[in-house]
Amino acid sequence: MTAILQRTTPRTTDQGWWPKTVSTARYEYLMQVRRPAVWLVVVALIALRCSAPLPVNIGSITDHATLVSDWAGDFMELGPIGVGAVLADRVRREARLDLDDLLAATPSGIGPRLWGKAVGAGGATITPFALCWAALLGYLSTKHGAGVIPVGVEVFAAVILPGLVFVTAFSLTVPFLTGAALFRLGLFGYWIWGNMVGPDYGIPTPAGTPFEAIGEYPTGAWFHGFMFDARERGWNATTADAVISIAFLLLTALAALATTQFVLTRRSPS
Amino acid sequence: MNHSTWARLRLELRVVGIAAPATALVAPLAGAVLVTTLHAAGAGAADLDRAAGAVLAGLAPLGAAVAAASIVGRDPGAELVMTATAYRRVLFLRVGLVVAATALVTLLDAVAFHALKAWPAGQGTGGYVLVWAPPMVWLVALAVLIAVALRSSAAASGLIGGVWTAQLLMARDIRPHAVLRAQYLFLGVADRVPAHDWTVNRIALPAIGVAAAVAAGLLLGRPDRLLGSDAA
Amino acid sequence: MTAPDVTIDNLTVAFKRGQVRALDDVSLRLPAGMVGLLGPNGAGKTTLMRVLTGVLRPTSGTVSVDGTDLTSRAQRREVKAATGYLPQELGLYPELTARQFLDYMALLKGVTDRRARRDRVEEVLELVALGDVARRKKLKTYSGGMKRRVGIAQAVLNDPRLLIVDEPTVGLDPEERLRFRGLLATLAGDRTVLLSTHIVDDIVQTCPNVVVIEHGNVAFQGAIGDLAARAEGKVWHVAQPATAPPPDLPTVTVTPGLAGTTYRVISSRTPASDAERVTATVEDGYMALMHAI
Repeated sequence: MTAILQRTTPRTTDQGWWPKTVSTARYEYLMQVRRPAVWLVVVALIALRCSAPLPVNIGSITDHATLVSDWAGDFMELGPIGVGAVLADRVRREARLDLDDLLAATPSGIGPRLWGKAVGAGGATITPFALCWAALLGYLSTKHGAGVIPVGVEVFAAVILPGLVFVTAFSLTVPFLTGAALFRLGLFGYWIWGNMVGPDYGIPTPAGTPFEAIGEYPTGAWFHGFMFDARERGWNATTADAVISIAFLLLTALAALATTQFVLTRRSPS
Repeated sequence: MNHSTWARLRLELRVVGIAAPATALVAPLAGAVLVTTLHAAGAGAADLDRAAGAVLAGLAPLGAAVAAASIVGRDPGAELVMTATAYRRVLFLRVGLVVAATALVTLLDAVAFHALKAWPAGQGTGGYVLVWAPPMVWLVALAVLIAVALRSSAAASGLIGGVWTAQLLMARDIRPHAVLRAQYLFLGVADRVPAHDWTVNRIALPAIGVAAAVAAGLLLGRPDRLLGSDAA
Repeated sequence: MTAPDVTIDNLTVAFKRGQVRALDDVSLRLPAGMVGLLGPNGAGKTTLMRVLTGVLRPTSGTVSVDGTDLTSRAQRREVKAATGYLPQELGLYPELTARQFLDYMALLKGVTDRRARRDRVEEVLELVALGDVARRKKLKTYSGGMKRRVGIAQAVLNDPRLLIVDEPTVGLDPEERLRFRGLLATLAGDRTVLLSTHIVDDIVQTCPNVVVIEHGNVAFQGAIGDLAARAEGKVWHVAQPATAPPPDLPTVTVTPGLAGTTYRVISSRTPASDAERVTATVEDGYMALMHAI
């Protein structure tokens, strides 16, 4: 065969699941993190809520854990809506751009593309959220000392991240069925009903139970933070409740992605 | 209306597709089922009033706004349409069709809810329209403006949904300020408000909506802004 | 119907607040019949066509069609009514059938009479040989060639005097391409058809006149033969036994043979002692122009 390229042809091997997923995640991350909408929406919604933070006495709280977890509650009231809204249109993006055939012709497979998208696009959308959180911790550390920073990292991992993973997973799966617009409307409705319409409103809701996504139970159990709807229910958060809450969010997220992978694989003609 | 107008409207609806009307209509339709079910189940008057208020002043306007943002964000035939006519007219017609359908269903909801005595506490003076129309105009117009300005339906939906949720959550912070109160979407949903506040609010919301629509129209008059993709 | 007088004077189109000049002080007069528009990617061809169709407004300069100024909003509407456009990135509404799509475009173009619209749609569907599938199949099921034919059908719906087509034959099979070329030549009878393409052969076969745009400027305008003549005496065949091309010379074609590889190169001097001078083609003329030889 005539050599048309000067360099030696790179060896192609059948990569494993992990390298394919990591490669997909890397480029999904880059594509999503470069969207102005991701930064604008997530930062704007966090700033909007934090312009009048709750509880009203948050400025006088001195206990690091309580202070930081209460701020986390403010971040979680609107921020996840923005995360879900800007992720929802990633789902059918390949089909919209006529890339389905091209991608299906590569040996990457449906699973690595779906999980890579979840990790990459999800991670990119959580990036502005995490940077806002880091900025807040930096600010609080100037007022309350560097001790808020390790607590802040723990709060991010236990209170914020599970909810964001949950929203990310559903934002990258449900729109396969509903389309982006209907999903966004449903997300806004769910977020209010499922996390903020407490039992006092007289309608059945997961708000105030460990099955909400806003992170009240880890806040109450581990960081002595303010609990809104759980307090209305008269429930006290224990470590077991917090673990159940986090496990519920993460397992539900995994289940949503795994189910989607199963359905997409079954429907795939190849 | 002559035949060509009907033909045009029918084709515009086909171009819009099913997703946007479904998004816009799901709230008032599901809301009708919810309130009727609550009424049939013998729910208390306060719960009925609150549910009616949530559907009319909250969910129906939000659904229309999210649908409007989705219509603006994606149009494969935009360039061809521009060679034939002013694009803003076509886009406003498409948004108008979906919003008009939502408005009609919401109006029917309002009449039905009133008949069932499920009515937001502070909204006795506005006929069947003032409950939902001003918030709907405000949200839809701002959604269209943001979607056109940022060329992103994701940004428009996210910001409008966030502002809507923030208004629900931050009523205590909004209501003491006259300027913010004038743009409060849920005034009179849960309690009675002074007549002056109510009047100012019901005038300010559509007025701001009209201003936003004019701004969106001006931006749509610059085709170089529209001939890119919805990549933002 | 007579072909329109299309005159462009000192046209400049700038984007990003003047930082990018897609067209820079372009002056042109389009003759009747088919006019080829050539130029490298990013030269400003699509911008020029968008201005001519009234989609984009010029930053400065004047563009007029039969004296009607395209820089005026009211008059732009008038010009749009007499113009047809097939864009390169042809976006169609996938849920419509071809007939519905053409009916929609006819309505947007102001054909409100039901019978006239229906007759016109049937006529253009016959013209592009889609009459049999246009009612049943949605556009999303069409092949690339069929979509292009729908595109040209919508462009001629209003019987335009100025027809502008951007890369109309990209992605078409050879037979479809020849058919399309013939269709454009037929339409050009009493119209001005501006055909932009990278396929020089399409222009050679159909366009008596050609415009070449480079970096937002007009690099050439005139008869197609004059473009070929630019390279006359500068086109050489160089046969080499090795596979390396002659250094620093624009190469038009590379033809492998049993005795070695023959390169067709452009050079104002004899490129090699055994080089053979050959007759210039339009492609050679274009290459000579692009490389300022």
